[in-house]
Amino acid sequence: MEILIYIFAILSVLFAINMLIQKKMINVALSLLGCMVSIAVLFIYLYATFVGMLQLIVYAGSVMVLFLIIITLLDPFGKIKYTFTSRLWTFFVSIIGLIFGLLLYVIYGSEKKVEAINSSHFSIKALSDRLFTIYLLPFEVISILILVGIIGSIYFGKKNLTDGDEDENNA
Amino acid sequence: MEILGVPILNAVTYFPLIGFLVILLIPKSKETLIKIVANVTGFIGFLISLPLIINWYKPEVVNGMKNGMRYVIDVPWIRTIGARYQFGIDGISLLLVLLTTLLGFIAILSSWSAIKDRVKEYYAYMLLLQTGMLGVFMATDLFLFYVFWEVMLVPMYFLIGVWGGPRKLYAAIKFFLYTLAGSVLMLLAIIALYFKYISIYGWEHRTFSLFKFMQVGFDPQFQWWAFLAFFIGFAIKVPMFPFHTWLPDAHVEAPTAGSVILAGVLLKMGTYGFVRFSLPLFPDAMIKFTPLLMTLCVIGIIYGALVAMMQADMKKLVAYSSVSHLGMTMLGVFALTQVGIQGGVIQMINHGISTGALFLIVGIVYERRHTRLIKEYGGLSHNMPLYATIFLIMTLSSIGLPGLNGFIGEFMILQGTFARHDLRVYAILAASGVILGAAYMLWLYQRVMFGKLEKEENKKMKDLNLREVFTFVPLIILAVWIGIYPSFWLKYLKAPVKKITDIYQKKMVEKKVELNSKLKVDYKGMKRIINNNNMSEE
Amino acid sequence: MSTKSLIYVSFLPEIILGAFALLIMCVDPFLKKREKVFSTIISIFAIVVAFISNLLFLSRDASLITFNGMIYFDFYSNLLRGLFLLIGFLVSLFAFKYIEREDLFPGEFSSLLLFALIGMDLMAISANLIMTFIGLEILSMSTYILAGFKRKNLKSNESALKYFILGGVSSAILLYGISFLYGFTGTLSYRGIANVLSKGSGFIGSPLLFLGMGMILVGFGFKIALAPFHVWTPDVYEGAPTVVSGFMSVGPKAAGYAALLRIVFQIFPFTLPLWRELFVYSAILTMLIGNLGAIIQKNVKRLLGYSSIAHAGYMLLGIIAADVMGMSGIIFYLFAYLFMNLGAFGVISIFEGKGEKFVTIDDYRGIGFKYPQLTFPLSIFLLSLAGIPLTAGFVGKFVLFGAALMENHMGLVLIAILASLISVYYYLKVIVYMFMKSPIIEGEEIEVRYSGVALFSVLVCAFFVLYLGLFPSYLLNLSKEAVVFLGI
Repeated sequence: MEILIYIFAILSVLFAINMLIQKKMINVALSLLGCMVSIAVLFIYLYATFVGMLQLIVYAGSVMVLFLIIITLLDPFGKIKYTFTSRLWTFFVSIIGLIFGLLLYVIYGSEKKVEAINSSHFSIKALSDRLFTIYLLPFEVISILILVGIIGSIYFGKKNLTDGDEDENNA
Repeated sequence: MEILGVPILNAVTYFPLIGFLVILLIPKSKETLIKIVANVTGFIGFLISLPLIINWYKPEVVNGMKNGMRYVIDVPWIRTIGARYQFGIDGISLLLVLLTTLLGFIAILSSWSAIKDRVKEYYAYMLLLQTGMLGVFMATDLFLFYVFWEVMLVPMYFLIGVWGGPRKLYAAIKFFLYTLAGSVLMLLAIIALYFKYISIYGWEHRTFSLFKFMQVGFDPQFQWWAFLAFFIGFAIKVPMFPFHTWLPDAHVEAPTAGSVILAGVLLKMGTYGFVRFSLPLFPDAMIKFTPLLMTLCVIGIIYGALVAMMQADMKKLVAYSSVSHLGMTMLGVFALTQVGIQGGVIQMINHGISTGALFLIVGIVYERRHTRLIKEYGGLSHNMPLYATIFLIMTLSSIGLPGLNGFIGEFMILQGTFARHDLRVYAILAASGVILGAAYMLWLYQRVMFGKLEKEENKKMKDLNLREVFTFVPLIILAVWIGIYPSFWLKYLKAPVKKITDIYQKKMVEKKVELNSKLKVDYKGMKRIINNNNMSEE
Repeated sequence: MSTKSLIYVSFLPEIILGAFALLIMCVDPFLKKREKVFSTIISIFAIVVAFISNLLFLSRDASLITFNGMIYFDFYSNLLRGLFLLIGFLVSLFAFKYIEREDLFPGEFSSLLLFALIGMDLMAISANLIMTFIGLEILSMSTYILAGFKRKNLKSNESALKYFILGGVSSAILLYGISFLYGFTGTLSYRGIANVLSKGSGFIGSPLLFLGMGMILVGFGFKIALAPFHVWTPDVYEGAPTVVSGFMSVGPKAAGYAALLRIVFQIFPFTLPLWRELFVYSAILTMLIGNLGAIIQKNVKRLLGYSSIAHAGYMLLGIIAADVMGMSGIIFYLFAYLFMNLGAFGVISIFEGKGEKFVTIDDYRGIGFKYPQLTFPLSIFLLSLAGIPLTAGFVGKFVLFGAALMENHMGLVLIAILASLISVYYYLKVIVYMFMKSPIIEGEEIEVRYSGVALFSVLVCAFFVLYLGLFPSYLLNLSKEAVVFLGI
């Protein structure tokens, strides 16, 4: 089991590196996905099942989907080409499939140990307890951070952000 | 003492600021109005400084003395660091304050036709400078002193840089950086004194007050360092020999009025700094360094005179003569005897009068001919008799002819130095500087004034007009006054200088440096003058 | 006051800022182009209201921790928040006409500015590393966008990208450092960490702790632009819209110092000797690099960029001194720096003209006496930056250097003085070009147009620079009162 940690740790780094090397947006996005999933595995192995699942659902799931949607919809400069060769496709699919397999294995393998350890720290109840008491403020304030991020992405991403002439015409 | 409810020192210092503000409000195009406002401000500024000397011996003023200072203003300023707004003048500052207000007025008056562009800004800076300089001579809190000392750099920098000659940028920046470098070192020493004081008396008693520092008696090692830092700051300003290189540049490039102020007042800030701060605060270091300082002074005297002799430019000549004269002044101060220091201080005033006047004299022909080269002139006495007379008086005053102010100062300095056995050799060397001084000044006068009036342009030159004569009148009166009846002025110096020499008397006895009492008696005439001064002081 | 209301009072200015920022975002789309100024006015109004609420609820006596140990409600928070709001206020005033001139978007600008202010506030008032980090991120994210606010300008894009990438890396390093500390102590709250560290003296020498501290220092060093993490500064300042450069030179620096002071003195008072060594080297490097780099600059924005590095170095002297005088010196200097640097950037933003054309020193030839209402304030700012007496900059430097001298850092102070002497040269150079040089082609000075608002804000800055130079007592006392809460 120990070996799995190393495998996923190395994998997450490799994916992260790949993220930087790739030139096409979609490849970058997929590498990010791989990275996230590997990290999720690490979390789960550390008995932080809930965080691991969150990582999977939020990052690998919704955030990734958002990424892909943004890439396909915005395409700010019309320069991103979706030349997704079948070779790359199979490569990524197999890698991600492999990760999922390992992930399942880890989850099943560690379930009993989670029971054995005092896992109150990591239970959903404890987590939400803290999130809505001690860490309420940071939790809420992060929404500002996200809002700023959204403003930024719209500001930079929108294609025809003209100098307000449109508004004049519309009005 | 108050004027219209304002403490008199504040009134004297900040009155030019009122003129400054009025000028700021006048539109640029009304140049004559601006000139009138500036001149009136300068004149009233001088008038309101007169009550200082008139009321000097009034009982309420004498009773209000604190630490030997009169007209004292003392209010907290920056409580956090213990800096106080502390003004006060003794006899030494009194003379310098009067010199400043007078020269300030004369400098403003002399600019009437010399400054043609940016008139508004010019007069604004002149008045700002006036306030800065007056503050330096009145502040007795070291922090306040430093603030005024630095602040006055800025308007002077602009005066040289904007209204100066062809190499004005170089001169202005050199002037600024040189002086700033020195004064920052001084600031470091001030902070060091401050912390030293705190380390002795505790944080609650933090202060920058000169008198508090004087009571401490710092250990010699510490004095040594602090003295050096102060020395560099002041010596650059004076300027003493190795630090003098900024002076000719600044003088030559500055407009006439700027030179007058520079020579007449700004340089005095350095000498004044030595007398006011270095001497009382660091007696041990002072005694230790005396031979070195004396050597520098003597080099300055002789070197300045020799270089002045070789100059082709009149203004540069006068500038180098300043180096020589100030070397003389410092010689008297560093002699650490009553007569020497008094002579040094009176020589500061003399230098302000005679060199200030000489710069004005150069400025007058420059304004007419736009050249300062000596060889361009000759025989001017034929068509400018009034000019020639005034030039002669000022030349003679500068070289120390008996009956004029320069003689009194130089004589007292040399006598005061000679009175100390160990310093006689310096006095003898310095005396040779006096001879050299006579040589270059008379030679200059001869080349410019005598001979045949050959050049066509020179023939057209007009003699002085009423305004120009008026700029010289007060200076001539003072030159003669100090020359004939010095005790009127010297009596103000007696007490403050005695306060300083008392410190040294004690130290020197400790160090077994004998004062040559025999020589003192020999100069009976001089002695009488000095004694007369003792009349009613305190 | 009940505990519950206290919680909200302690966070009220931020709530106000946030609410108004959202309001701007809601209102802005419905405004016609001519009415867009309205959003800027709302943001100014928001800042004023936040400032008043900050004044109304001061905590001068006690240091309270509210929001479940997330926020300090003490005078330090109040004072620093006031500082940040002043920054925001002046930046908005300068931006007022600037945005119109450069055809930018007031709605986005104002709301981002307000968000950035929230981030800065959070950094200063936070009592928990996670809060500090989120504040830092909000501030950084807003500034990244603001730096690239001129979308069509390549330099602005470059500036934003550089700032973003380097900022992201530094944030990651900071977070990594925080995670080390968490792993070490099991808590993120300042007091908690301090408690753990004070109990086990064996921790002090631990390499892991040292690494964590070092990483936190790197993270903040980047925000404050301390050498050797300063490389981004000149490029980013040059490329970013001038008003934003002004904000970046003052805002993140002030917030960074505010947070750093809390962290150094509330978490690590026991490990101060370790920090001090690092800080001394960093300060020397920062001051020298900043000042030497500035000498050769031709572009005024770059020049001020380098000078802002140098000033970060001067302020570090206060932390090295590590006493009340040094700490209060930093806060005083932040105020002084706010007025002088923002003022200088404000004047530059006026001089450069539409499209930021005139930003080299050569363009400033001969304008000195033509526009005295702007050049004289600029001279005051530059002289203050150089540390000439009667200006706020002098008093600030005096207190900082004095504090360092008192703690026997003679060599460091000498270097600092040398550095500020060097700085006089290049500040004077700008003045020389303005007043003493004539334009290359006679009579061809640059045309300057300015609005009343901009002139007003320049004059306000100049007034405060002189005021703080003449009467620094009040602010120095406030700063002293504030730093007492850091528990030195």
